[in-house]
Amino acid sequence: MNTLLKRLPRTIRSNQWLVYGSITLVMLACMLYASLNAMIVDIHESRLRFERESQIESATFLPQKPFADLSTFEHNHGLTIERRREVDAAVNSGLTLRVFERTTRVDIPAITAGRDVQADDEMLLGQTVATALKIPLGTKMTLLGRSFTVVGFAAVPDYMYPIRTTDDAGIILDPKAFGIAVITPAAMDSCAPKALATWHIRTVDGTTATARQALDETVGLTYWQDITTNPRYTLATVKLEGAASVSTSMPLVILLLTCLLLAAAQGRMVRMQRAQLGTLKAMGYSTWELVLQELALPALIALSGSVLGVLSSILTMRPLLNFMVSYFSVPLYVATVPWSAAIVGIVAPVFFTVPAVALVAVRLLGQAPVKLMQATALSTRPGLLERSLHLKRGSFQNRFAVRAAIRGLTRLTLLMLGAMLAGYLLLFGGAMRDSMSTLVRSAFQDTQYNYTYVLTAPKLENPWGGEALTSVPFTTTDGQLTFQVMGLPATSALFVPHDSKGQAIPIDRVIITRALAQKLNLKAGDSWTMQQSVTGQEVTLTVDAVAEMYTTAAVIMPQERLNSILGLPATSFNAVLSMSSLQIPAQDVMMMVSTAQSRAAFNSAVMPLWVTLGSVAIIAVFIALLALSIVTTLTVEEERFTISLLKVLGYRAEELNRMVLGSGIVAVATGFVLGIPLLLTSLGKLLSTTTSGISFSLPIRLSPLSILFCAVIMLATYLVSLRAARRKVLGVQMAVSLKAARE
Amino acid sequence: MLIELKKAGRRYHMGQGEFWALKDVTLSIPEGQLVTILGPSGSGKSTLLNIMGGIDRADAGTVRVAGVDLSHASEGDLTQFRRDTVGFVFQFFNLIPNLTVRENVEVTADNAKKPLPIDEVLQAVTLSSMADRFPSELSGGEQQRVSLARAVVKNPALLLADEPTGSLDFATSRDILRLLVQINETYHTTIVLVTHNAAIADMTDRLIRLRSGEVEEDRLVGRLIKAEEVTW
Repeated sequence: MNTLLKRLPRTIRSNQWLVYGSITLVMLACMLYASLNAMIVDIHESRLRFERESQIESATFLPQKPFADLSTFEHNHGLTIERRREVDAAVNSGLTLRVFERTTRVDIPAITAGRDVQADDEMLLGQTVATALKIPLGTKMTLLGRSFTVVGFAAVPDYMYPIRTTDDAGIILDPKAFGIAVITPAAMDSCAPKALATWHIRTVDGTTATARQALDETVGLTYWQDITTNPRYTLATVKLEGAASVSTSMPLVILLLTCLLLAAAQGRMVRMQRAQLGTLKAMGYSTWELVLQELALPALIALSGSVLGVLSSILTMRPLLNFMVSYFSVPLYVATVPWSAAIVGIVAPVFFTVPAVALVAVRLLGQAPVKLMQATALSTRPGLLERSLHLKRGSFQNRFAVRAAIRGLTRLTLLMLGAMLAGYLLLFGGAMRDSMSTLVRSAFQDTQYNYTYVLTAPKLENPWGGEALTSVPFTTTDGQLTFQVMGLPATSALFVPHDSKGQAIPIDRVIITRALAQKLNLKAGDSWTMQQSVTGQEVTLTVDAVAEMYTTAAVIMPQERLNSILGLPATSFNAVLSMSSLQIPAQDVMMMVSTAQSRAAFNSAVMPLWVTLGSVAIIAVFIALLALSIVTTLTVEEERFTISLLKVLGYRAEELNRMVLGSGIVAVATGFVLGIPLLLTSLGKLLSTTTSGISFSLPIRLSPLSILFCAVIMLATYLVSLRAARRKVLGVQMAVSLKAARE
Repeated sequence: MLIELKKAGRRYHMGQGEFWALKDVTLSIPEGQLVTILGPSGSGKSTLLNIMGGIDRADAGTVRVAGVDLSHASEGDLTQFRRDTVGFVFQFFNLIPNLTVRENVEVTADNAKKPLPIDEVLQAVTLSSMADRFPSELSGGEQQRVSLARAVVKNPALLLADEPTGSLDFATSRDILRLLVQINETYHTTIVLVTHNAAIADMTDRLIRLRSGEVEEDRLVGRLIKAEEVTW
């Protein structure tokens, strides 16, 4: 073994905190990168295979009249069409299952556990509801008055994001309150013979324009929805794509910052050994031999950290995947760390750190041995900035601290980067919390009703009470975004939109929600054209006001005006809002939504967010602690001579801490503050991508309280690392300065 | 001649100006000679030594050691020269703190062409029993003996010692000086010794006295006293 290499284990032993801290930091960053990448790639590949194998529909429609010869129509137009009946079954007071009959050609259920249904008393249960409620296989459930045994768990492609309704607050997923179930067609015949039947069409290339026209000409259409505008599919794909951009960009930034931090720390360790390197050079070692020696430690740290990180990602990836499939109903066909993520995870730290340290070592070793041996510490010559600084005011200790800060600007930049990284993560958690709170507040502040009844057909008389309204789906002219247009009575007391100042907006004008305004880039005074989903009728409106609602993209206008646009009588309505439950005959109600259910759904949706934010905050604190400790350790090492000399001169540990390490607080504060605009900018771009094409948007909020909270955590972390550094300061021998002074 | 300097000079920049630490130094040293370089602080002693050893470069004149033109040698050639030809002993020992005594010597032996047996060298400097200790566990004298062993183990043609007794007590200093003479006699190694102490010159073959970067005196001494007789 090369004699010089024998230094390596001893260097590790004498710098344990620095080395193991760095390895842990790299490991965390690589683990985060590899596991999140694995999660995204695996979910993506599973979803694609799911769509392919389950023959996902291209659109859903309702014909006006029956097909005369369906198979000939399918053959002539190259289409696959299948009818599917569905009915909602209340299992208990809290859980509703949407029961489908099993299809065989389009939207075929994928079995994620157990087996397929074989008998009429068997059922498949949606995997999200089974996971959320921990329902095991073999459970007996009573649906529609009949007992079924759960023989398998399933996912249905057009219910990839299994939500009850596709408008308003129903878009929030609550797997504990709503799920799907699949039974045999014969069981459906006996349980719910009059269940709603929808038709599902699959085209060869996924485009639907020709098929839609052919169907309209042949059987007429009363309802049509492309899969690309169906929130039960698009919310899954868009959220997964959004998650993909967060899950690939954020850990990559963390990984790169970690590499930067590691490279800088290791570069400084190399510089601290300049006297040793000078001696070895004087003894005949070439620059390259010494550079290679100096690369051993950073390479070892980078490689061991990254390998450990990627290996541990195999363990952390699985819970992440399970978490994802508990919300997105996708069978998990693939659950491995992809080679690309493993390779990038392992190579990136080495790739970034080793050349950076090599550069430092080559530059350093470019000097003559005699120059390298001249000083054991870093350059003792004050830099230009320090020389130009004429400090005369303030105490000696403060002036000393300012000089120390200026002399250690690179070190402080390093500290600032560490603080920025940790601050970014902490603030990310705070911003998500604030944004979600605003979203939830905006969802309920305008709605005073507890029940929404959607009727099967428009009515003119309302004998049931409540407030009658007209609600019709419209799309943008390019068909990319579907949203509701609601006609409300001018005197509505149950639905009162508010503007950004919290003032109620009277319903005598055209009001659009903030979600729609953001998506279509509209403001008061703008005009735009929209298209009625079913009839294709184009309507041009001018925005009079914008209501602060983020949960739904919608237009609110006087009921009479909407009815007039639709060609309906002025008093026509198709939905009813009510404070209390209404006695509307079942045949007249297409759907009933309880606001309490929506609130529960919101709370349920927010819960996992809290868990995620908590985990992110813990990782952030840990990263901050490591980064700050690495830098403070380096500072103490580099300032050993000064610390020792000041000790000889009688300075106490507290004073030394403040003089040598005190300026770090400025770097930490600067890094934290710089993290705020960085976060808001990146989050803005991220969320606009994530929610494009779906009917709600996320407001970006970061409250002063959250900033304060994160700042306190950051400060506490810094103080903890200072406390640890204090022990190192106390450990510096006074003899160091006496020995060094003779040189 | 092992060492030949012709009008050698070394210039340093100080703030806006510059000054010559060494100027127009012309001298030659034959193989096997034990030479003392004497002079007050700032006279250019260490600079001259560094230039002879190829760890610093002359800005003027020529420096030729063991047939190598150090003034015009490439970095690679200088490295090879230091590896094969020259051994250093520094005032503050410059040992590698996380290598043992034996390993500190091995570091040089590793890249030498024909190293002497390490055990023999450690025996010569009476450090055999401390071979597995780390520098921090040794006294100053012991550390300097390790430094000496490290320089000698490669059996260099030239051994350069910069104030080798500068940080040692009298007894230990005499011990080190005795070892230097012993090395010179045993291996026929040319030794150039930089010191403040004029008495040391009396135990060597030749005295070169520098003042303000110039050779003030260059004369043969003829080893008037033994190392043990050097006083401070």
